[in-house]
Amino acid sequence: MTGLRIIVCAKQVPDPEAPASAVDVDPEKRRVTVKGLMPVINPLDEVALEAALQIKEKYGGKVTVLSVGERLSENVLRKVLAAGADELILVQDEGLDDLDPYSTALLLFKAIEKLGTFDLILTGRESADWGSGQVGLMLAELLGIPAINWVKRIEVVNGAIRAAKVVHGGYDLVEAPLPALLTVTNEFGELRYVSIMALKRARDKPVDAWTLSDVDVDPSTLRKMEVAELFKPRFERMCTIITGKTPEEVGERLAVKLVEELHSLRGR
Amino acid sequence: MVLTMSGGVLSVMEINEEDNSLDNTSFELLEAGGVLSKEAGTTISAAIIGRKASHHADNVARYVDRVYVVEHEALASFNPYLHLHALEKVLKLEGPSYILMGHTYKGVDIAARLAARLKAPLTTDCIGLELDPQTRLLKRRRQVYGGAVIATFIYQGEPQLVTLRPKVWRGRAEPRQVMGDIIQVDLDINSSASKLRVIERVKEEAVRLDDADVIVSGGRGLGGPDGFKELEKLRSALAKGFKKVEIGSSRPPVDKGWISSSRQVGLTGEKVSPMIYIAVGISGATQHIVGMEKSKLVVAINSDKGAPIFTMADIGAVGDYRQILPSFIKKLEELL
Ligand SMILES: Cc1cc2nc3c(=O)[nH]c(=O)nc-3n(C[C@H](O)[C@H](O)[C@H](O)COP(=O)(O)OP(=O)(O)OC[C@H]3O[C@@H](n4cnc5c(N)ncnc54)[C@H](O)[C@@H]3O)c2cc1C
Ligand SMILES: Nc1ncnc2c1ncn2[C@@H]1O[C@H](COP(=O)(O)O)[C@@H](O)[C@H]1O
Repeated sequence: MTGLRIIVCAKQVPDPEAPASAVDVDPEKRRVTVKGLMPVINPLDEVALEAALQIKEKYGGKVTVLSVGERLSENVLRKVLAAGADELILVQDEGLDDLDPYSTALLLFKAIEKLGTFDLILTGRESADWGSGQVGLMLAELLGIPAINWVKRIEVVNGAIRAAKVVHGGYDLVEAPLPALLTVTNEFGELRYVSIMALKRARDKPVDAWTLSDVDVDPSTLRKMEVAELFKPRFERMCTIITGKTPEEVGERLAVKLVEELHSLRGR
Repeated sequence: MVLTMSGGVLSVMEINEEDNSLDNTSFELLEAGGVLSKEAGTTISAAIIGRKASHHADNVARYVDRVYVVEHEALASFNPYLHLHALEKVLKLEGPSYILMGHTYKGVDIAARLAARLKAPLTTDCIGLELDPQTRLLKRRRQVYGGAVIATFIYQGEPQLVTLRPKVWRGRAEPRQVMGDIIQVDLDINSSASKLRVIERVKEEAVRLDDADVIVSGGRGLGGPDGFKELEKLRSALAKGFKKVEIGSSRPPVDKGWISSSRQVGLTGEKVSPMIYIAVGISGATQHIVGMEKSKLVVAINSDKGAPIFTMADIGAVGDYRQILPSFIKKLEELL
């Protein structure tokens, strides 16, 4: 085979590593508001990109990253080019945020149709914001191609995909003919280190920007998520911090306190 | 307007392939489905799909009006396409308005594909389910933004499709006076039924964290796989005082291959509720907290006194775990 055409679907999300206090809700408008949070590439889509880059390195090919959204940050998404992707395509238009998973899958489907041929599509297992974990499998159904969910290892054997799919207490070794779609899970490993130099170089690389009409989608066919109610749960506890002159002392006192608390817990 | 939401509730059972047992998730789905069918004033049915599905028919029939049994050699191992194929047969016969599945690796794998095929809105990993009495639509409650927010979704459309987070419902379905009907469903499986081939199941470490009395969890702050050796010493010290003490983990050690993924606690891992949860070198990201917040007593050891885990702990120690653990372990051995 002379190289694989690989498409990675990557979503832009508010930084999920931010403290919970940075995320707030507007119960009236039924919207989540994030204050001063940098957008990032969905962490599991970075993992999917890493998988794509490894496949490209091993078997040759081309990696295209595809992202759909209302206000996408080119600067953030260019990281994929710096990491080694060959091409970045943004489908950007009004009203494309907070779509329901099926509509998102439909948009990706239309964009992929426009792209033409491909051998492999990789998505993340789930997105970090609304995190439905559905878009990948739905996209595969729309394309009519096989999909393997929650993949942590990938090989290409005689023109077919052989993947380790995470199941409870192990994995299933599964084979599917190409073209196929895989949703990649965190066990695959993290995205390689991307240097500042590489990020700088990626600034000059071209990025394709498409709109709804470019991908031939009628906005009235897209549905939003329907949120009826939103609230912030509270998890807080009162913490007793154990002190001591030395770490050894802290350790000992920690044990004493733990056993004390345990007694009162059991006493109750 | 056509009559909508006139069908019943269908709960899709889960069988453990290895020993052909009915997974506890199944009883949770029967419980949730039973409540829903009462609220909606409809029937409840169940689908059992597997190589020896009929083995469970009588048992499940005690809880529902109808049991559909789809039995076939090809269902011996889990293949999402074949299981979906079987489920679609059941749907044709039953025509449910509500479909409940488990949020397990199987349930998710089938539900998202089914949702695409039926164009039925799916909500995954629900932690709450209610019927809106007026519209008869489901109110689907789930965690979003890593658990920092809880959202309730309502979608038009039929069937209403959800996967339920395991162990939120307790699996206490009520048996009825009269057994439901048992309906055998024939399955024809030709070569085009599946788009993939399951070669083999490879077993790795399979631990259960959900019934542990104590969990000692390590995070990225352990600095490497050797850190878990230190935690193992703590684990065995605690094992003198408790029946089941297990090692747990945040996600980075799993991603880095320091420990097996079955030990991951959190949003994408296990949801645990031990008597004691000890978090070592874990910062306390929301995605981790939602997996352990039901623990009775939380202890945190972290070198950063500003780490969010301290807002979620009952007892905390600030410092390098390498320096704190030895004396902590020694003293525990004395006291327990
Ligand atoms: C969709 C999604 C799902 C996720 N699911 C999960 C999940 O299920 N479970 C999960 O855990 N995470 C999950 N995460 C990841 C989560 O966002 C955090 O990245 C992760 O929990 C951080 O792990 P950590 O606390 O071990 O690492 P870090 O956040 O890097 O924290 C390490 C901590 O160790 C401390 N430390 C460092 N050295 C020492 C030392 N010598 N002694 C003591 N303390 C030390 C540091 O002060 C720091 O607080 C998910 C993320 C996403 C986006
Ligand atoms: N707006 C988007 N643009 C590109 N890819 C997306 C988008 N939304 C979801 N995906 C892909 O689908 C996966 C699952 O998303 P979700 O179903 O939202 O959890 C993500 O990890 C991405 O790979």
